[in-house]
Amino acid sequence: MKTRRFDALIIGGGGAGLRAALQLARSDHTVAVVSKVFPTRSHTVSAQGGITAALANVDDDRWEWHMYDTVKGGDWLGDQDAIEFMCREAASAVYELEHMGLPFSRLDNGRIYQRPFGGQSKNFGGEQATRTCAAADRTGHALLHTLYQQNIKHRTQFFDEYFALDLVRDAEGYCLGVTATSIETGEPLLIEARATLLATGGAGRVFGNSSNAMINTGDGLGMVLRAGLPLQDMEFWQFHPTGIAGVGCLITEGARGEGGYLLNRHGERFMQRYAPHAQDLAGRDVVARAIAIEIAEGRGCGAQGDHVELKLDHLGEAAIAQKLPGIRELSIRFAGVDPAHAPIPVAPTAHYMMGGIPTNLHGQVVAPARFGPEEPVPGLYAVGECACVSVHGANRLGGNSLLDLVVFGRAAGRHMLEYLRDNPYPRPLPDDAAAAGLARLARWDRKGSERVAAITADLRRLMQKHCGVFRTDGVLREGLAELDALEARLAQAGLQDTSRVFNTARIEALELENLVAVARATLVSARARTESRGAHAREDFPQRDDANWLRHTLYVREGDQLDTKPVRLKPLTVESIKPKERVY
Amino acid sequence: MFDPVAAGPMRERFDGISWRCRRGLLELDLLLGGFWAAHRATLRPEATAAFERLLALPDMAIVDMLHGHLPAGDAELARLIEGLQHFRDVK
Repeated sequence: MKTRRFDALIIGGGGAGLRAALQLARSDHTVAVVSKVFPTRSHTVSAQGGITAALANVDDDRWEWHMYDTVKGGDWLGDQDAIEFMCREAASAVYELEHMGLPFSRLDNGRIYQRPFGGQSKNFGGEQATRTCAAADRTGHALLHTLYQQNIKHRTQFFDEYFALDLVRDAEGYCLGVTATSIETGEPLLIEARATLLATGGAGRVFGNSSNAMINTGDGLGMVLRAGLPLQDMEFWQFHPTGIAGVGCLITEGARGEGGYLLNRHGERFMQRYAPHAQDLAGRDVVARAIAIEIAEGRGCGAQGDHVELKLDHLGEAAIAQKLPGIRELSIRFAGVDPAHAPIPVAPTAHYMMGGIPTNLHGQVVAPARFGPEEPVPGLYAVGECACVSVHGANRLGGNSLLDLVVFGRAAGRHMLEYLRDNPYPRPLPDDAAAAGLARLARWDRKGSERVAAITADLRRLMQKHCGVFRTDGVLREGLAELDALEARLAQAGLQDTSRVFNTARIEALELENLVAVARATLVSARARTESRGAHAREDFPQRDDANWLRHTLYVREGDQLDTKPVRLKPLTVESIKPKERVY
Repeated sequence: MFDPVAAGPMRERFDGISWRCRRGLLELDLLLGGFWAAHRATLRPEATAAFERLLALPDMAIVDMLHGHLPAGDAELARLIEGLQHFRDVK
């Protein structure tokens, strides 16, 4: 089996992985990035709205206000030390991107353009803030290409179209790299590294209706679970309120930031009832639930009453063309309406995973061990949507995901450099280092009685039905029973075509294994959390329960074990933001 | 009729094109993946080559071509873009 050795290894070529890789590549260390698609086709490219930082270019602003909004937006489940770190570092992270050449939109005075986004306030819950820095409606694209170019400049080694299979760890728990397979040739590869970072993105394709690209299949999450490590807060999935009805493609919150608003079948601006102050710019979970209620109570639009409408035409054709050009084209192509003349049909769509691989501020993966609940796994890091640091708590604010990527990507890169300094020599690989990864590949060499595509479709239906915007114990329990049956089918599944070269069916089978692991983690965690908080809405436990659930869940695959650990309410330098009712 | 399902390098090339329809944007996944699945057996070789050239571009360049904001560059690619626009329109 071919083996390659680097100082540091990044799994995932999106914004988080590329930012961490850049930090390492600027040093004298060798760094490799493994990506299952060409890196600039990563899902970061889809972030339309922007990156939030209290630059105060448009209006008064302070990072403390950003921190307050993020804590409140996350319904007090976010760790306040991590949130303070992110909000304090935000301005320098954005200016750093600007200096790398990211083409931000500009104000008339030449400063970086900022727009208002949902959940943002001035003065700790006061008037709407204007805090999200934007490169038109293509901020993610601009960020991804800027970071990729910087990595090329600094000679990062890319393994494009390689699929990571499993972590390689030794008996003492050190992560020593990964096994992977070339999608083009089917050949396995062992990549050895003293430090490995997972930046594999989200897993939104586990739901039937999702804004996520097809590549978002939770590959890093599956690797971590198979290594016996926990996932944190997996019950928290953000349903973006405005996906194009029936398609899932996202209409950015920026459309409402620019003055768009939602209407039900009676032409009523219903958000005035649910969030009298923030209205259409309330937190995403609040707006998504409001839309779900409008639809459930018969006030949905269209023949099926299965969506509401996003009205933009009052902004005028020129403003839409200038500020929201991508949205206009998307709507014309996929909804068949020009928002300059008619409202866009929208409905909630699975968008973002707040939970993930538990990490500390340095991006080190942490897990309960002998010396405490958050002991770092040596040599293993995680950043971005696959990680849970946790800054988004129970609900992420728009504009904070790109910020998470660059702030914690940089922090992880810095810490990995320290780790490499303190661990200058490779540790010996165990004799069976590649065994688990090779077994994963070999398992799909056989033909079977069940088809991968059918199981994938059923999994997505299951999750949409049993773990959507509203949940109950009974519905979740039924979902787990159906998942048991589906996993039994997966054990009988095989491939008709077992060829090696560009066998996309094999990759989809490997992805399905990861999605099933994510689904189980989500259902078990959602059933355990007997409260409603942020994006997790339990009809049978409609209230937030701070007495019992100001805690993170930790799911471990073996025996579906579920543990908890307390939320860190103490920030680094400022006063704690005490839990209170979350109203907008 | 051109038979892309025949074993060998052509099939491998076509399967590679299928994988490269995986993009960062869901809308391109749906459009490019759907178009290729529907037309891979019937596209002329020149059109297939144009499709490969298109897939090598960044997502937003493809979006801009589809929206008419970026010229296709050559006649074959322009024909392909027109076909994609039509495919998307009927989706």
